[in-house]
Amino acid sequence: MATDQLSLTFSALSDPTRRAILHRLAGGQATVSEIARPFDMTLAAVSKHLRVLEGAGLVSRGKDAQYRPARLDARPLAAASEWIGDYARFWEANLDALDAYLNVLQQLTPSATDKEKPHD
Amino acid sequence: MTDYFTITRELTAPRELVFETLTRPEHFAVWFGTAAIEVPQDSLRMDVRPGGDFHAVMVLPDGNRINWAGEYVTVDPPSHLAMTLTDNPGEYAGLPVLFDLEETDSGTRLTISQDRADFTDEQVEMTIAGYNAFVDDIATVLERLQAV
Repeated sequence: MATDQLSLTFSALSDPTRRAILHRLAGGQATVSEIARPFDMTLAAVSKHLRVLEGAGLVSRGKDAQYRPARLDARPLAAASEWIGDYARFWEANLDALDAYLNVLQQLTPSATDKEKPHD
Repeated sequence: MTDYFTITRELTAPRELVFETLTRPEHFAVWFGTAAIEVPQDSLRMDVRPGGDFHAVMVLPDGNRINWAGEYVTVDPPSHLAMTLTDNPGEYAGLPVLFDLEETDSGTRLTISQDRADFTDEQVEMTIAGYNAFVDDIATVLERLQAV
């Protein structure tokens, strides 16, 4: 479940235009035509990108039937950011354990390293 | 920096030994999960060859168990190992985790990375940038509200 949301988030972020739209929305909500202006894109193209972002939960749309301003919703970004941190912490902790174990292992079984050691 | 999916560690042990600790159950059970979490050696299934299964159980201090599953993709001793790994057996295990071992003057440089086809550096960077931008945005809104 969480993985699906993560995939949606990263997939939505995989497109440079959608990232630019998110950057725009980070500065405040905007209507489709406001978003389209700097991009030299059709309103239909912008709407399509917004739907992908909406599907990933990164953007919510206002209720105003005519303009429906888009707003950034960063909760999925927070979850993705946390996942990235968890991933790094998981391997860092395991590598700490591996490092410590290798040191013990080599003290217990010096023969394990004989091949690598130059003879004095 | 965009090293979110690449973790590098200098280990003072020969490369063959490091590779063994990654691929032999009697070693793997000791370090995987760290000292805080038990991985019973008899829970390990490590069929270390391309297409071979990986299975492990982590027993948490509170007694809960986490099942890990995966599949070895590339086995190239002592320099390279690639395997999928997930704590959600039954679901898509994702792209392989890559273990690269290089010889150094002091021992071995171990690099763990996730295949970039899954999440690119750019995506990760953007996620963090986007999150920070949102936090900045909230801060601006709060300032405005307080200024009123």
